[in-house]
Amino acid sequence: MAADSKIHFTTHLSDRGLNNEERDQQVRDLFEKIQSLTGIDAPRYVAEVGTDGHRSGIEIAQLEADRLRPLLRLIGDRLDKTPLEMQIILQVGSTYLQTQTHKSEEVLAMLPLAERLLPKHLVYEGKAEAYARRSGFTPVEQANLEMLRYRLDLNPDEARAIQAKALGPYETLEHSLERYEQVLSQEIQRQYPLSEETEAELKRLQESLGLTYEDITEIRDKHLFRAQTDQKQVDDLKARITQLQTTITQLQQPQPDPEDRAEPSARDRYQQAFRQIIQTTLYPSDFDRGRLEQARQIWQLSPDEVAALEQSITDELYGPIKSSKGVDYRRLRQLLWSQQWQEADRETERVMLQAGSQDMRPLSSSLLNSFPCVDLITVDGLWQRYSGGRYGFEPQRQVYAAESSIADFLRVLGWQDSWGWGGIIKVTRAYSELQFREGAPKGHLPTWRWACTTLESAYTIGSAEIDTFFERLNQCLPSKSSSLS
Amino acid sequence: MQTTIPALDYQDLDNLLSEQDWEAADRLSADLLRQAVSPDQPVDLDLAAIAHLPCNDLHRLDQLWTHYSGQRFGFSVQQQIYTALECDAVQFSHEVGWTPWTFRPFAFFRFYHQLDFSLEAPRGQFPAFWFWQLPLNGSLLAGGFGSGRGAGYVDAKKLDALILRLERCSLQ
Repeated sequence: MAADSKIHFTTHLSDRGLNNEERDQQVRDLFEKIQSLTGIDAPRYVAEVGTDGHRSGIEIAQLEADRLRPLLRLIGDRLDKTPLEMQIILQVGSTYLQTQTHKSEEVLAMLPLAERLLPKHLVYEGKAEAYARRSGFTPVEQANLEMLRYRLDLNPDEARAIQAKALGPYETLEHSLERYEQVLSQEIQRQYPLSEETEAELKRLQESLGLTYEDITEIRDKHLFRAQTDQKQVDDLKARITQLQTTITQLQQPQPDPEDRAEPSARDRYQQAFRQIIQTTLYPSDFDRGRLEQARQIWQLSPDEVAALEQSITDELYGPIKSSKGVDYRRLRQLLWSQQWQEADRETERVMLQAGSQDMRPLSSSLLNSFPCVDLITVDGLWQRYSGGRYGFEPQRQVYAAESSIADFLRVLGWQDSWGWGGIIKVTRAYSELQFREGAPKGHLPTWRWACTTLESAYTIGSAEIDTFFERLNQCLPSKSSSLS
Repeated sequence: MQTTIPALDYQDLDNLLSEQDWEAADRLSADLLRQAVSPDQPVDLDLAAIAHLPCNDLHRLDQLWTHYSGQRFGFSVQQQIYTALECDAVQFSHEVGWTPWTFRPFAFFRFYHQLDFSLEAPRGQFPAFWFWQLPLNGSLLAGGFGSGRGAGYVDAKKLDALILRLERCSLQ
């Protein structure tokens, strides 16, 4: 149907005032001009010797309808400059339109006549299809179409309908890909692996969407891989459920006969179940929580009783969190357990201030003097436990004992740089420049941000606070080296 | 364990703020902060003093400022800006209009009277007087010439200390 919107165009220079050579020259000039116009396919230079003498001209077999205007205008402009008589023949379908003139107006007057001969929606559709080949319309293409619509006197609704048809249901490559992906994932959900018939249908869809094999490879890889792993997970889950069902039936079996001899008590059994679950994680999954709750009800234990049991087992496995000031150390323990060093360091400030200060004031040496021993040992214990003894107050005490000056102590911990005799030249660090990761210097963490008045302009600690703190630590927790001596 | 501190009187501040007399309110706020640390004899608001500011008073001052300025001024607004700028004091001072220009590492504070005492002032500009008020030697150390903060180069300690204090108070 697009072929019907094409025009067969011929022009001859018919001016008799020129000799053959001049005429050829003129035609060649025009030919070059026409070639420089865009969107004109294969203009052909024709020369023939007929009965009425030598004729030379230009023929364009398949002229796109919308290129007619620039072409006629070009010829018109030439005639304005050098009025030579020309013959122009347009063939649209089976109709011929012919003029012989040296006036540009008359040449241009052919345009509306020619366009009237063409079915106008075909003209428009031809252009729209040409534009729509690979992607949606660009703004300039849209503007061109709008001009064309105006000239053809199509109403906007008609034009829109034609555009939509040209584009197909999926306007851009992206949309086509999206559609393909959508269908593919639906098919995978319906049935995996895909059957041969489905594959054939998908192939057909790919072609009708105008997608190449390369276009869809990535999408297919992604989805098929996911489907494979999903399948595996489902299988695993099924196996696990069967396994758990057996466990539950086993647990339930002794129930009808509680007076049996060496039967472990409900408390013991609950403890055992809880221990098993918490062995590998501080955060039991919802599923395990549900299991425990079920067990608690079956064994008729009270929530308080269970909470106490769980607490003592958790403490045993993950470190005690005793406090003489009612401070909750569970968050610190969790952060350290999950190795979130920076968050744990901030949390350490919170618990230290709550345990040893009022109104969250920084810990001065007088406050440190009476810092609760239980809490001090808890914080130290948690840090040591989760850093393999690298971080905590105990490693800091070892550095303090080994170094002769406060400046050296701060330098070895990596908290401050200093040079010269007695560390006379100091370079402080910002708190955020400290190292919150595994493998920082021994004793680098926890920081003593709870004793600071500034952090970002400088992380510094007074020497009085340092001396007092270790004095207090020695009181609370005699060091191994001092107990040996 | 402590002698009970008479609660500070915030009525005057409330009045000044409701009249949008930002400068007077700002100066009074600085006085209130100094009294809050030590009611008997007002002290300089140095780093140690800032670290000991009672959380209640900070909270109360902030409430009044944010309320009457429509969340434009107040410590919590400053804390929010400072944190958003990753604790960059030079950038902060520029953002809230405490310095007229910044050309790292050079940035000098405005004189106090040069601040914009209106609601068109940059967000977070006030309270500012607590920061400007420096004893003579402090001002000289800060690069000024006994004129408080004015003309001194950017020194973040006091700001840093206050933000740290706000953070700790919010941990409670």
